[in-house]
Amino acid sequence: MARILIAAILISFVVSTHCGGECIRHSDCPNGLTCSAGACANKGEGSDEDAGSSSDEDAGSSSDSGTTTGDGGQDESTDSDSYTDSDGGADIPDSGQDDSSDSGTI
Amino acid sequence: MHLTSIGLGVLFFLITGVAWGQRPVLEGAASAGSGASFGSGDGETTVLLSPIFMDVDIIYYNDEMPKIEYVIGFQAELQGRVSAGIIPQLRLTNGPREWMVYGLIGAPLVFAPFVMFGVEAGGGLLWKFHPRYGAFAEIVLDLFIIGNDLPDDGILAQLDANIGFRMTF
Repeated sequence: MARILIAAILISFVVSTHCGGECIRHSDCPNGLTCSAGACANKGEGSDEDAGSSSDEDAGSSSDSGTTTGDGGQDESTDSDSYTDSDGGADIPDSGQDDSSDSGTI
Repeated sequence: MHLTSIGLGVLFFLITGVAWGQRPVLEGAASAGSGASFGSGDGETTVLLSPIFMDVDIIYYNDEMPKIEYVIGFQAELQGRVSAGIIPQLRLTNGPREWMVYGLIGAPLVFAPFVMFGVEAGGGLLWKFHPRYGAFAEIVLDLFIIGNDLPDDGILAQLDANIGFRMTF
């Protein structure tokens, strides 16, 4: 009986719980990865919703930086640019500001 | 003075279930186990081995109501991660005897390094091979429904078994 118990414990130690990158909990995944749909994935790869929310945050920060450069530059043309950015706000920024935010992040 | 003592007695009874003349019994248990974990995958159920865990329990009952046990358990997962949790349990037993059978319900809370909360139910068998010492085996089904270690809209079910020793203080 004791041998069976010891063998069961050893087997459960030997058999990895991370076979094939399968997961049930985030803590099943290595550091930096999260569990999504039964597999470990990078945090950004999890879903489109994640990418969307992050781009929104990036767009917000880039518009802030645009405003500050506008304040610093005091050029009328840059001011008009910043206004068009802010006017585009909700709709355009997803395509337009993503590029700028990506370049800004890099 | 008399009313005060009665009031304190009622309060003590409400908290511990011990009335005057009853003798509280405190026992401790230590065990280890593992099992199978079930979670929602990509349109199908994913099954993995549960992390090996260790349990330390403090068990309380009184000798006039020995079939009801109040348990505070401390659990640590030790495989693939290290986590700590606390599990309050209520157990119903067939009374103190050499072979004791019991059922349990509880509310496991994992609090570090992540948080998970759920409910559990199960049963066990205790063999008291000595008036103060015993060995036991349990099977418990945990259902974690809330926590930041769970994927979005995911729940975690664990069917675990553990074996250990129990002693009376």
